[in-house]
Amino acid sequence: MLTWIALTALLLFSLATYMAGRRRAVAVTAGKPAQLHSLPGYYGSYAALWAGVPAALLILLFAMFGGRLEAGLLRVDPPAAVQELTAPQQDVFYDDARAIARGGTPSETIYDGALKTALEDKAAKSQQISSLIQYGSIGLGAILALAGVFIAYPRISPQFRARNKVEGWVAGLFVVCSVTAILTTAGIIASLVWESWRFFQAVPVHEFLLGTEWNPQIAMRADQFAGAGAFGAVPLFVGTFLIMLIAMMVAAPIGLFSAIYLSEYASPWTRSVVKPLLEILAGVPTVVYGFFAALTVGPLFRSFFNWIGAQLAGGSFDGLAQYLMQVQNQMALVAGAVMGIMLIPFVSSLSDDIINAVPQSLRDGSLAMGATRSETVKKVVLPAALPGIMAALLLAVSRAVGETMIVTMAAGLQARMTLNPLDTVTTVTVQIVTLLTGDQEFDSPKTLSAFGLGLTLFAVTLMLNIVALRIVRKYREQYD
Amino acid sequence: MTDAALTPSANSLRQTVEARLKKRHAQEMRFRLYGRLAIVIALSFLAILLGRIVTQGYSTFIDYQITVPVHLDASKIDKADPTGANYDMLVANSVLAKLGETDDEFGNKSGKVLEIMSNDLGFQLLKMVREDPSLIGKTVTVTGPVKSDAALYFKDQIKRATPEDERKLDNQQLDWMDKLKASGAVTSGFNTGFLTRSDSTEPEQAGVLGAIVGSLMMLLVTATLAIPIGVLAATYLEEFAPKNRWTDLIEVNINNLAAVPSIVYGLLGLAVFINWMAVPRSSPLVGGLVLALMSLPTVIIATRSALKAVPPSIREAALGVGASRTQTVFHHVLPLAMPGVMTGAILSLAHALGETAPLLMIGMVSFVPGVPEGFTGAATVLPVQVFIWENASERGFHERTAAAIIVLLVFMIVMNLAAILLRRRFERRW
Amino acid sequence: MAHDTATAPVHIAVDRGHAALPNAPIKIRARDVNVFYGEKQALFDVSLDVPENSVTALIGPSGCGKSTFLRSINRMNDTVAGCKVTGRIELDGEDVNDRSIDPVVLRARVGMVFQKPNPFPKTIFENVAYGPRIHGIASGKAELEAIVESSLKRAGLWTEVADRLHQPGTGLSGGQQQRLVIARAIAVSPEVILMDEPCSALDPIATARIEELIDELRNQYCIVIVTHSMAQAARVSQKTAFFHLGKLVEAGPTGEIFTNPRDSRTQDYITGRFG
Ligand SMILES: Nc1ncnc2c1ncn2[C@@H]1O[C@H](COP(=O)(O)OP(=O)(O)OP(=O)(O)O)[C@@H](O)[C@H]1O
Ligand SMILES: [Mg+2]
Repeated sequence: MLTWIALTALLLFSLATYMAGRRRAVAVTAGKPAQLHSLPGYYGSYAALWAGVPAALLILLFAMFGGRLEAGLLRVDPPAAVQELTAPQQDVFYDDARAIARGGTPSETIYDGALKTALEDKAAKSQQISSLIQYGSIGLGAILALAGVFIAYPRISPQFRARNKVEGWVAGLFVVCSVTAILTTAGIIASLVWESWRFFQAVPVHEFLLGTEWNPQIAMRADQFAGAGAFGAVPLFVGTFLIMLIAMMVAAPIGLFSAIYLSEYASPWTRSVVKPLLEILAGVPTVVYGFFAALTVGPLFRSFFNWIGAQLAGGSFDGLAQYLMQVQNQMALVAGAVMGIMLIPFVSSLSDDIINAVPQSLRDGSLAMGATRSETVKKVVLPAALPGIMAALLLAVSRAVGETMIVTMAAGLQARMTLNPLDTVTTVTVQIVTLLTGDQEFDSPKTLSAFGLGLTLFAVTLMLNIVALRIVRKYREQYD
Repeated sequence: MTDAALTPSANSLRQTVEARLKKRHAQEMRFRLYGRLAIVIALSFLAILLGRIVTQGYSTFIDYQITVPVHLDASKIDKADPTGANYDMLVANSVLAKLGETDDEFGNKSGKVLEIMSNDLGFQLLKMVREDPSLIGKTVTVTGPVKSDAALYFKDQIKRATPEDERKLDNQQLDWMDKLKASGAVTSGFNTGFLTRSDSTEPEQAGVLGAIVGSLMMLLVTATLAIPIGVLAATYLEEFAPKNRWTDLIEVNINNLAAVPSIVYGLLGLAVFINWMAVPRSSPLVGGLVLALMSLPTVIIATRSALKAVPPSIREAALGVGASRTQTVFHHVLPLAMPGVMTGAILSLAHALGETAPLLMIGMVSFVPGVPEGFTGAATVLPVQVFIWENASERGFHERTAAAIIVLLVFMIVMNLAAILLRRRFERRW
Repeated sequence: MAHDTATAPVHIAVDRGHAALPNAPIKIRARDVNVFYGEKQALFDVSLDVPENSVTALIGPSGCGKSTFLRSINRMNDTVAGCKVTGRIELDGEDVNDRSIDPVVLRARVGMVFQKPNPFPKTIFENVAYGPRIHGIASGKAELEAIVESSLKRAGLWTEVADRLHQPGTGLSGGQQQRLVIARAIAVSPEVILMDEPCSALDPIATARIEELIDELRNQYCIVIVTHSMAQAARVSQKTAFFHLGKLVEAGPTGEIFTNPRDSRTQDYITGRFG
């Protein structure tokens, strides 16, 4: 809150500086502003930038890292009672102290005796430190703002190239913004690699990538963790692959045929109606698909298979019948099919673009030879569009692999090595969600394994995307 | 071989072609049919999906309220400490009285009544007495929702035909409810509570207000970060940056970022914002930060294509009259590209509004029974609320899940319409 | 008048026939052809006779409807949404727009070569084999190979590509591509070949090569060619038709049109005063 007030005040101060700078620029020319190198506004902006930007950056930096600084300072000189606690307990203790200081809700841990007084003591301290940081940052900000004015104001003179300077600031801002995208990638890679590295200290990489047993729950206790490969991710890869395969079996033919129909056959009117409808399908949030899968498709498929089982029971396929009667709501088929529906518009709009990029002259050439439309599509258009369509399908695969909500709500949690679509399987993303929701201790391999999975997921999807985007780029250049 | 041998007479050639015509046209029809079928299937999925959600959720918007006069018995409420009294029991007894029944000594009947009345009525009494202790000893009228199971009975989703031991409410309770309804004590109406309350452990008291406010706060954070940064980055890349290895790298990088699974952004948020920068968990701030990073590539891509659509002649004209590059871009090019930019921005915000997975990583799954206290307070958002309710076991929540989806979809439709209108309104042909 | 007056009604006054080929039968006979793209009318009452075994050139300023007329002969206009053709176009006396005529068969009989070479992204062999394959003309591999070879030979491309038949057709030079496309068109032994500015994307040498080819092909096929080059029309064609603003202004033996145009617009156009 205080930060907001400070920033608002700073903004007002910068505005005032702008006015002052402008006025001064006009004043130094003794009423002949035409002598100025730049328009007077630029002189104002120059002064305002010096007054506002460094101070604002400082205040924002403190707002961003103040919490961390405070947490660090709070741990200085721990009371004896706290020193006796284990490291995770200490974390909880300090979190609670900070929560109390902020007026939030602490954990349900019960403290008594020396700990209770220590907690109250630390809570008070926390409040002290945080207000110190806050006021300190604002104070420093104020000094910087004034310093900025003292730097910029005296420079205002008719020869001063204010416009170039201001444009220099703008260019800097541009570069910073563009670099954000690079920083995001760097942040993703750094955080995934760092946390995974910590994970791979505990679980060897090959065990993770090649192990066939996944059971992070058992491994919560340190003594069990060293035991037989409970962090083997292969079942998750198999489950992810199975669901992806089912999804693609739904999405690829339907999406592709819709794209072909829309681009080759449909009248402009049909196109103008169908395309927005498909866009709606694409815009539906995945959590909605998850809900649909869990509460509509799952029960429907289950009762269907159970019914088939009941019909077959006692016959020569009794084994199969017994199996079918046991089929559960959560099966790979349900998650895969619904994910396939979600991907239809994705495949269709990408392929539509690709097919439309095939030059009309090729179609004309084929039609003028006496080919029918479908022959033209099958023998000329699709072969010409093939690389692009492959790329579109790869992008869809990447989406399917990274999709989270549908599988979380409809696939299941049991890690199994199966390719049977009626079985419950789990996927990489489901496991990341389960491992990271609920209570976390940040140093256990259980939590860290989520980052190992995240890294694998990122690497795989990145590879798919790079390949696909490269193909698309080449493809577009070919027909440009 | 001579040419003549290879050049069959026009007639025989024609016959060869015609012989295969029927087959080829049949193939053509089949192919066209597959295309039609694919479209019909895709559209019927859409219809089924939306239809299911509406049929599952619309009933949430009707609710059943019971109105009972309750005698605030002075002997049961301690004037000095009104909090201690059992208001639920007072309500139950009043309802029993209305039904013409009396409680047995074990409190069985009042217990059963409490299974069909929301404890919201009791809370209301407590609140009244706290505000005005002089009410004690008098009779007041309270109106509140019935329990969600009871509402499901009124909505005919729990049926009397179901054997008694397979449903939550027994025959006596059903009889009472019929009677209450017949007597006019229970009335139905539009469920405003769903839109004015926040999450609750009781389905009949649960609403989406907290989630809506949470979503809006989060989107505000996302928009204030992603739009300016994205627009500036795109402007730089499109209008200023030299075409070299670096900008090429940035470009490839942005395209790839747009295809990174959203859950990875959640992991990034968890590691960087929460663990490293100590931004409070499950707050709109951290959610907004994560979604801003996620939306950034799409905003950049949309802005670049809007800028590309501005014809070069405009730039040349502005530069020609002596404007600097920066002036040209900010005074002429960007304003012309603005409708396209805003359309893209709104669409990516709409997408961010529906995003769930990364928010689960940063602790947004917690139970938040109220409107978020601020940008750093605990919050929940609409899609996560859907996820939480879908996991709840009570039937009453399933109905609410679908209704929350309807609310979410309404928001998304409004945003998309805004984008479309913006595009129509400002569409320009050069 | 070379052609028989009974079949040539008087109202095609602008068509002076084709005196240079007195005995040539009429392959294509167009009468009162009107073409509309939606609301817009692109051709007005065009009536023209195209003689067999000869080259007929269509000339006229840009946008006057030459391509449109050409495309109504093999019904390529059917593929354009909102395009409507009225009037009668006869191929050997049969109305091409008749219900009983299948466009697939019609287009097998009337080949077409476009302005920009458009080889399919397939091998040279596959490009030429395309027509025979879809129409099921070749009854075996050997026959197909023979057809491909003879078509390439007739298109004058064989010597250049004989050793690279299985390389992509898009890898050829522009002139070679255009001859490949001509080979592709003649592989199904059409009766008529329509060419829409076949040389406009080519350099003079490649153009000369194609013109030579057209002259050779004339003996076997009826060729209609659209061109913007008066010289080309004069060189390759026996009959010339001049279009202006969607109307056929005049048509007749090429020599007569170029030396003795009756209409002042034709005169202006061929002397380069407009268009
Ligand atoms: N697909 C179409 N839709 C609408 N109008 C068209 C279409 N094709 C052609 N036209 C119009 O019909 C008229 C005749 O066009 P056409 O292509 O036949 O001219 P052209 O004589 O071949 O010209 P050019 O020498 O430039 O090729 C033109 O005015 C053109 O704008
Ligand atoms: Mg033309």
